[in-house]
Amino acid sequence: MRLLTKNTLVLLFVTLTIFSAGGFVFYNQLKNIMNEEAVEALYIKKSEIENYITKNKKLPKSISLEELLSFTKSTNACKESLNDQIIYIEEEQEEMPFKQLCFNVVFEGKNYTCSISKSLLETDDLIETIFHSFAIIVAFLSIVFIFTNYLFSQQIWKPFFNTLEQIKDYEIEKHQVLNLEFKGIKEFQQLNEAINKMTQKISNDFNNLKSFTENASHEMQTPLAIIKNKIELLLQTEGLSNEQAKQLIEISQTANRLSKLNQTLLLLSKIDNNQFVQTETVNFTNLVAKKLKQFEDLIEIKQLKIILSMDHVTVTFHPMLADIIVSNLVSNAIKYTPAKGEVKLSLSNSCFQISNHGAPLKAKGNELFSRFYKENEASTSTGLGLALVKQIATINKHKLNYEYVNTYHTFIYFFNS
Amino acid sequence: MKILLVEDEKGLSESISSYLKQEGYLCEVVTDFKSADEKIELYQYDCILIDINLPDGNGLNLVKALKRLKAKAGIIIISARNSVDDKIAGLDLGADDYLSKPFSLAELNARIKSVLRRRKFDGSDEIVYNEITIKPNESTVLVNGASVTLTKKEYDLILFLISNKNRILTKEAIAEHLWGDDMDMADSYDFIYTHIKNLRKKLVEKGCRDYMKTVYGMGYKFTIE
Repeated sequence: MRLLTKNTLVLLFVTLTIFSAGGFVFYNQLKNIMNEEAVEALYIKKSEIENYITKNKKLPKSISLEELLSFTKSTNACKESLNDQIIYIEEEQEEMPFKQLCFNVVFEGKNYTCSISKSLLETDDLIETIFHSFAIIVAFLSIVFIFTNYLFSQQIWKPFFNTLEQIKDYEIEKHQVLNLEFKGIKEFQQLNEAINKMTQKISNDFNNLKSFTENASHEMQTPLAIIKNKIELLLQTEGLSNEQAKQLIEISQTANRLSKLNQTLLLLSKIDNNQFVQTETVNFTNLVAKKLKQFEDLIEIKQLKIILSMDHVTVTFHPMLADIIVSNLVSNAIKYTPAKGEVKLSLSNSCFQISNHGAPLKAKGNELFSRFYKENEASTSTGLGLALVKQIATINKHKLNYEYVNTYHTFIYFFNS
Repeated sequence: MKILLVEDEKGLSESISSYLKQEGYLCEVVTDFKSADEKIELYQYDCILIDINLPDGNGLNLVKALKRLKAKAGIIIISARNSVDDKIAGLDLGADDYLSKPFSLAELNARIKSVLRRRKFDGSDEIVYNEITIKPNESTVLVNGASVTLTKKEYDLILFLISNKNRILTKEAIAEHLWGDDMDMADSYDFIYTHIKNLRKKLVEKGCRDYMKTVYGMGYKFTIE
């Protein structure tokens, strides 16, 4: 619900409640005043009648519809009383409320009970009148209210919607700091000020994080480089036993693995932080061909059969990320296909598909794409290769699918979601 | 041949200079930007190895300074940041090569030799090792004057082996040199053996002695012994 609608509804509800309550109070007040007036009028009438009898020595006749006058002979003098009465009036064909005053008059030595009734304004009429006038007021107020609200809201909310637009366009990886104006309504000024501060902080934190990951990588790569180079020097020394040499080589390989792991993690965090935003047109056809060329030695050694079907495909992509996708998927397929197996690659405008022959996986569902997942725990692979491809697909709003059909593992990278 | 190494990490600079000294280079080491800046103003070097991240400055500024001085030295940037931007920036400024840490000393040595050849002889010199002659500008290999037809990989391999002659080269270092480090195939280095075997066969056919020795469990060594 729009704020404006909500606002209007609440105000309408409040107005209606206040006016209903007000109407009720108003009605009661009015009724009381009218009753009092009627009673007062009856007493005035009473003294007029008494005067009339004294002066004219006869009983007065009833005069108007509003006032009914009757005299009844009575044996004893009645007590003065004031009653409410409902009397059916034939002319109007309805019952009407009356205020009746009964009192004793003495005429020609006899006691008469005189009753004067004065019609009161009908309650129904009264309520109706009040309701009508109030309804008109409420309707008028509402119209004016809604009209002005709609008329001015555009104006009033303009800075808010400006701010909203800018926040929608905000992209952290572009190192943007929003610079919203403060003028006009105070609340919006405060909002803009808070947002400006927030984006400034986000940008600072983001940069800090970026340089932290870069620095962390730097700090780790250097000691690894030292380990590697020292071993290399050690390997050149005379008189190393085979066992010693083997161990040194293992240390060196492990250092390499650590370095690779470190670089991949760094890459993953860079992708997570969306630090690869610039894109260009990447020729996937050339890229796949290049990768196959790069891996040709492995393909040859394993005597793999490559079945290739490629259209001419170009995709707007970050070149490095495109390289990683193709490289990881191709090397994955080559690595896990048994010797003399088959690797099928196909490239179309919608997807890059790579299938290889092999035994079914132990991995369930998307476990295959999770970080550090390894089919074979003893493997020296980083367990990050497919996670990397998956992450690249996610940030580019692409899709990566895996299926196992007829002893073929198939990975499909869709260039759209 | 005089080499200046600008590297703040002692462990690393020791290994590098020790390796380079064994190769017969005169290697000077400085550990900060300021002294490096002074050295390049005062002396001539054949090759300068520069670490980008120095405690008191950015190594890329040394490349700029060298270009301003119109120094003839070959420049190789060493960086722990395997960052494409740094690499492009370095090469744009006029560096000859870029190596990211960790690298093998054999790789560094091969790169230095390649840079020196290009700088000193415009790539026109010949590498002669007994009966083997390599002409880098033509990418050809001659044995006793007769040309040997090699694949690109075999050519790269013999150049790498000769650049690091008399040293043990691990399969890892060879794989890294020939295929780059994105080839995550540590599980099997069998393909190196295939290339070595083919190369050996082609050389021996032309009457070349077999210099490529397999060092059991470690790797290969190009040596006369």
